[in-house]
Formats: sequence, C-alpha cells, structure tokens
Amino acid sequence: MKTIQKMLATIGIGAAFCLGATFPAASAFADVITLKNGEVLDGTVERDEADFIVIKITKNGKVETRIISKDDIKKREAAKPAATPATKPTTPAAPSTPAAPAKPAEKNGQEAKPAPTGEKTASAPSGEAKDPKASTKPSDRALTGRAMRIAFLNFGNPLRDQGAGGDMVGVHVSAKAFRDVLPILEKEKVDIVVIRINSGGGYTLEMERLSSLFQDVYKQKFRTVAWIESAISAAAMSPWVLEEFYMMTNGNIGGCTEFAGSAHRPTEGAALEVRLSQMERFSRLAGRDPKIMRAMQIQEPLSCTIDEFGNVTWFQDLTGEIIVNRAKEVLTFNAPMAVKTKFARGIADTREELASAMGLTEYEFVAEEATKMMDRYMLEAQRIEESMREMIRKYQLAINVAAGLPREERGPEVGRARKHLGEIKKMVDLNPNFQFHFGIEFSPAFFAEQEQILRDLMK
Amino acid sequence: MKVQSGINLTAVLLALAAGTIGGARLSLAQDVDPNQGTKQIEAEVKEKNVAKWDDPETTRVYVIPVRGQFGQNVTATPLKRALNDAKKEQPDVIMVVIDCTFTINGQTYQEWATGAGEIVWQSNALPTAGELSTLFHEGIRDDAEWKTRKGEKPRIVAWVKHAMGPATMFAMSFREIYMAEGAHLGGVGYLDQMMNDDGGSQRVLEKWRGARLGRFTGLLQLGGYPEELARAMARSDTLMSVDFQGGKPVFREDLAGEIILADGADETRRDTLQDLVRMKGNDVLTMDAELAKKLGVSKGTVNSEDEMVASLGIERTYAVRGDRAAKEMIRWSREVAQAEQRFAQRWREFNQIQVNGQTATERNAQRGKRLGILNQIKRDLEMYKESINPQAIRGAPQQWVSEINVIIERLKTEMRLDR
Repeated sequence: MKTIQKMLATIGIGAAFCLGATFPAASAFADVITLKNGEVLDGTVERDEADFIVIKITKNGKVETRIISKDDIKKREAAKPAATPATKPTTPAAPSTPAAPAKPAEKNGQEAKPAPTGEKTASAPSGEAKDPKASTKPSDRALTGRAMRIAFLNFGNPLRDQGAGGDMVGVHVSAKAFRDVLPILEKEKVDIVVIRINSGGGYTLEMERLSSLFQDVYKQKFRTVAWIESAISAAAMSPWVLEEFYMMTNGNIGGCTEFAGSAHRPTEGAALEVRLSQMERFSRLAGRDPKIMRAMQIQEPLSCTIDEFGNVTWFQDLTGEIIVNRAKEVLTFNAPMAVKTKFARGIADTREELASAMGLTEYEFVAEEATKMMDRYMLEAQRIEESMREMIRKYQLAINVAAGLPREERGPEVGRARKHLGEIKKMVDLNPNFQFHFGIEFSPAFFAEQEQILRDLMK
Repeated sequence: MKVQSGINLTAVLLALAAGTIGGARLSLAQDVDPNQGTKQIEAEVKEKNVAKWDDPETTRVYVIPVRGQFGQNVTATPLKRALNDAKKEQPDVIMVVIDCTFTINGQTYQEWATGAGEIVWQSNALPTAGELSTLFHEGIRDDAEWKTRKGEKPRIVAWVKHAMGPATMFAMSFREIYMAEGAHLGGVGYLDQMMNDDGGSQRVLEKWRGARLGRFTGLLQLGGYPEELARAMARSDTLMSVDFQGGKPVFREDLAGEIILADGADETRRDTLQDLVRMKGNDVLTMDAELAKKLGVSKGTVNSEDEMVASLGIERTYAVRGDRAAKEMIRWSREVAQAEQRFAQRWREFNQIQVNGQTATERNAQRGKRLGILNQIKRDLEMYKESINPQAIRGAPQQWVSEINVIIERLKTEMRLDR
C-alpha cells in the first residue's frame, strides 16, 4: 500500500481550503516549511491548527493547497516579507475562487474542460497523456485529462438534515440499497464513489453484507472512498475494507464493540474471537494495521510511532510516541489524530475540498439520481420504522372486527385487513432485516398463514 | 481540592436535584414551568442605528438570541426562521447570544451542579448540538445566498452568558467565542461514570462513552479547540494541566502544569460540596471567562454590547438588528408551551365526549367530534415534535401519533359499522 506519506507527496491539492469569513485574513503568513522527507514548501500558511497546517504553495505555475501534519515538519522558518497583501479567505460557494483548480461541472453530464494535451494533472504519476478513448478505466482516465466523475452516496442522513431520515445500519442503511443503486452508477460512468457516513451503527449482520458488497463489487468497479462525519460501531466496520478514508473537521470513527441489545449482553468468548478475526481480515484487505480496529472493538491500548520518513508503526500498548487509545477505553478517532497517524488521508468539509484532498483537479459531480435514491430509501425506511407497529395494530383490528361480524358482512373488513397486510408486506420487502426487526417474524410462511386466515374468515 | 471522605458527590448532587434527599428541600431541580422558557426570553434584542443599516459605511450586526432550554426552546425550526430573517438582512456579523438554562430532559439544575453532566451524556443534547451547529456552519457556508454586501460570508461570533450543560456542547462549535463575566462553559462531565450503576459490561459502556466523547470532540474541532479540552471537560478519570509557551496552551496529562484543568483521577483531590457551590470544582474542567480566555477558547470577556463591538474591532458606525429573530424564538417557545398544555386539555375534552346517542347518526356525530379532537392533537404533535417535552405529555410525540392513528382507525371502523 502506498504510504500516506507517498500519497501526500504525489497529491497536489487544487482547491483553496475553505475557511469562511470567520477566518481573519491577517493571520495568513508566509513560511518556508521543510518536511522530514526533505521536501521544502515555500508558501502561505492559511491555517495553523493544533495538529496540522494548511499551506498554499505555487508549483509549476499552479497554486496548490496542502494539508500537512505537524509531525511531518522538520523545520519552519518565516519567509521574507511579501510585497503583496495577505490573500482574503476564499469561499467555495462563490464561483470566483482564485487560481488553479478547474471548476467542477455544475450539472450532470456536462463535461468539464479537459486539460490541454500533454499537461499532467497534479494527481497523475509521471507519464505521457494517452488517447482519451483508449481506456475507460478510472486509473487511465486520470492520465487522459478527462474529468473524474464522482458520485456521493449517503450512509445515514447528514447531520444538517436535522434528524430527517435515519442512520441505523440494517434498518435505514442497507446493502440492498447500495446494490440497487449500482446500475445508475454504471450508467453514469462514475469513476469515484464517495460513501459519506453519518451513522451510529446497527446490525452486525448488515455490516457483513455491506463489507462484502464494498469489497467484491464497489472496489472492483470504482475508486471507493469513505468520507466520515460520524462512523460508530457497524458504521465504522462496514466500510473498513476501503483503503481511503477522509474525515470532516468534526469527523469521528470507532466504537466498534459488539453487543446484543444492552450493555449486559456483550459479545464474548468464541463469538468475539470470530468477530475480531473477521475485522483483522478486513483490515488486511484495506492494507491497514489490524491493531487499529482491535482497539475499536475491545479495551486495548494503541499507540504509534512515526519515523523520519513518515512511516507509521503501530503498537498494541502505550510504548509508541503517540498515544492513540488508553488501556481501558475503546477507541474513537477524531479528525486530527486520524490524519496525524495517517489513518485518514485528509480533512475535507465540502465536496470540492474532498476532491482536492483526493488529488483531483479535473472532476465533476454526477449521478445525483443515485444520491437521491439512497436518501429516499433512508427516508422511506424511517417512515416504515415509525409506522410499522401502527400498521400491525390496524391489521389486527380489522381481523378482530371481521371475526366479530356475521359471515355475509365480513367482506369489507377482510378487504381492509388484506390491504393492511399488503402494506406490511411492501414495507418488509424494502429491507430484508424488516423480517425480524419489529419482533415479529415476517417470513413468507407468516404472510401465507395470514392469507389463509383471511380466506378462512370468508368461508 | 481536599478529600471528602466516603461521599459520592455525583450521587449526592443528583439526589439533591431530584429532591430525594429528605429534610429541608435543598432541591437543585426546579419544577418545570411550561412558560419558563418564554419568561426567560421576554427580553428583546435592542436594535440600534437601524436607520443607518443601509449605509455602506455601517457594520451590520445581526443578533440571534439562543435562550431558554436547549433542545426545547432552542431547536431547529425557530433557529432556521431566525437565520432566514438574518440572511435577508445581509449582516456583516452574526452574533449568537447564548443564554440557556442548565436543563436536561426538562429538569433544570443550578449551574454548580456539574454532577448532572452524567445525565447530559444520556440525553439528546449531543446529537441536538451537532445538528444545530450545522445551521451556523455548513448551512451558511454552502448557501450562496448567505453573503454580506461585499459578497463575503458573515462573521459569526458567540457571546456566552449562560451555557452550562447541553448548551456548552453547542457553544463550543463556534470559532469565535466571547464570554460574559460570570459565564461558564462546562457541566458536561462524568462521562466515565455514565450508566455505571446499571452494572453492564464496561467494554460496552466504554464504547458508548468513547463514541460520545468523539462526537463532542468533533464539535470542539469545528470551533478549532484542542481535543484535550474535550477530555478534560468530559471525563473525571482524567489528570490534565496546562503550561503556556509563547502564550499558547500546552496540555499535559499530569498535575504539574501551571494550571490544573482536571484532577478527578486523583481520589485524594475529589471536589467537595464547598468547591462545587463556589464553582471551584475541578474533577472535570469547567471554564469561567478568565480561564476560557487563557486557554484560547474565549477571545475576551464582554459584558455589554458596546464592549462586544469594541472587542470585535468594529471601529465604524454599527447597527444592530435582530428583533424579528428574537420574536421568532419567543413565538416558538410560546407555541410549544401552549401545545403541551393543549395536549392534556384536549384529551380531557376527548374523554368527555361519550358515544351514547340514540341513533347511529347521533353516535357517529359524537364519534366525528372525537375524531376532530384527535386530529387537532396530532397536528400539534407533528408540528412541535422537535421541542415538545416527552415528560410533559408522558410519551414521545411520535409514539403518541401512532397511538392516535390506531384510535382514529378504530373510530372510523365503528362509524362504518354503526348504521
């Protein structure tokens, strides 16, 4: 696996990092940063946080923004005072963002302006531009200058939706929905799928389905990345097979201890070992040290040391230089620590920032239909969750009423019961887990039995 | 802080809060007054220099008061309405004045009752704070219509007057905070003791605690504050102190620094009641205005609008608006309180209607009246569900809606069959 260090070295982040008008322009200052790998960055530090800095540099005539972990910095010196005033903070919503990056196409299907022949994109390894028609592979497209087509799929409704729609894995978030949306992604010739995660977890059963789908299908067809707002428990485990994680500023990921219903029923013994082993395998599929997930599942300490070349060595104890998880706690990562330890490749709060963090300069956001389909699924699943018990009671009411009537008068009430039963079946069909989620086994045999009851009422 | 032998202060505080310690009623809890939120926010925003609002030289300040009970008076709908009005005015500065009671699940605590922090973590406060913070962050960032007259995004500042408990989680998502004298940020401690008394697996409990701390830290990260502060504020099994190098705080996980932030992990230094009542407790970190400034959380201590404006560096004429925003917040609180009162009243009306008419027509008319009342109750529940206190109506709004739908179905069935 490419180390994060190598990725950072090859990535030129095109878009300016959004700070909004709350960030005073006067705090930008010119610096010369020497990294531990020898690279020297001469530019303007736009943001200086506890664990990372954001610096704008000019490279090959293009302005790039780099996010640098402070652990990678060997030396920092003030540059000679610049004659020009400090740049104002940029706003991604405003179309007039300065300098290098090509603006993303605003509508699906619009081709962004291709790079001139022979010009290399910042994310491309060295090599000559190829005939755009020669290959449709995402990796080849990066070389051809064609815009990368990025689709966003929500895994749990974003916080900004104020609780509309749900986020439970296995209830509102399901592998079925992610599978159903594939034809749209393929039709739209999507190159990159971003799984935007805001979820507190859910069913382990569904986690396994999602992991398999991401590993066996998504990763084979698309560059698939996780973009984390909050990914707890099964929501962290489901995408664990993905190699690329990006965090939002407020992002958090971890807390993967399994239990059955309450704190009094933790997974233990052989079942726990099976789960730990499974996640070790998922870690290997992602090229990730399995100690990280282990500290998210059980109370294991975790630390790491980053050498002068930026390589991270993990320890399942506290002997490393950076304490990541204390002994009696269960790990949940936050964004700065995730980036510092190179678990995550970058921090991004907007789609444009994410594209830049992924090393893209030519891109377009596509497949809005797929995004909406996933969102509609979550909303519908939430509606079902809220109304299923009510529907069951209405069904029971109709049956009881019918049973209390003379046979010749039962027709309308049996019809009503059948209608409610049909609604219940439709609800269950949305998500296979609904067969058991409500405490009633909604199996095919159940529905067959109910149909028989309704027929018997009419005899 | 000296040892207090054998007393579990958290338990004492919570018992006091619940009024379960006998004798003189030293209750920290206050009976919930449905109009409490309304009373607290009767104070309007004092608009100023409105006539100069359109003057290009005037700095526009739009005030949004966040007052009352966080999660009840302060929820998404009124805030969105307030922000929508602010957007139309194109302010240069949005000043969010946070003046919230230390209320959790309808129970209000005195500010020194930091032990109630454990309950904060079990409530809806954290997800609510996360959701509401998006209104001020990405809600403004991603909306192209949000711009000043110069086409920039407005500057957003938070002025903290009272924000213990749930409101602290919200306040600390702001990058620019000013505090009033006597204000505190805290009341979100004892996460490490959350649900300890229930006897469940510590592994599962630590998962929940870690996840919550992660989300809380995320909110602080939005504000640009270090994760060490989140830990010191949240976990009482922490030792944290701070040194200052070049004016910047450097945190250490021991007590050897210049200022001790949290020492709850040292059992010999547990807070006493005397410490707590004087807001000197430090088992977990509670920041007063001075400490918040030292730690770089607060940009300054301001006690008046003039001081605030000066602290913001506004040198030219400024104008203040926000009366409409204040009225939106007040109106919402009043409507929620009235909806809660109507709930019980309407159920009484419903029960008073007997279905005992002589004819089917009469009986169905009576049923029709019942249906009308049920639909009114449903309307209130659906409209105000984000703010209605489940304790006030003895159940979650959504559960009530489902229940009412079944009763409606039953009534309609009776009407069909009664001919």
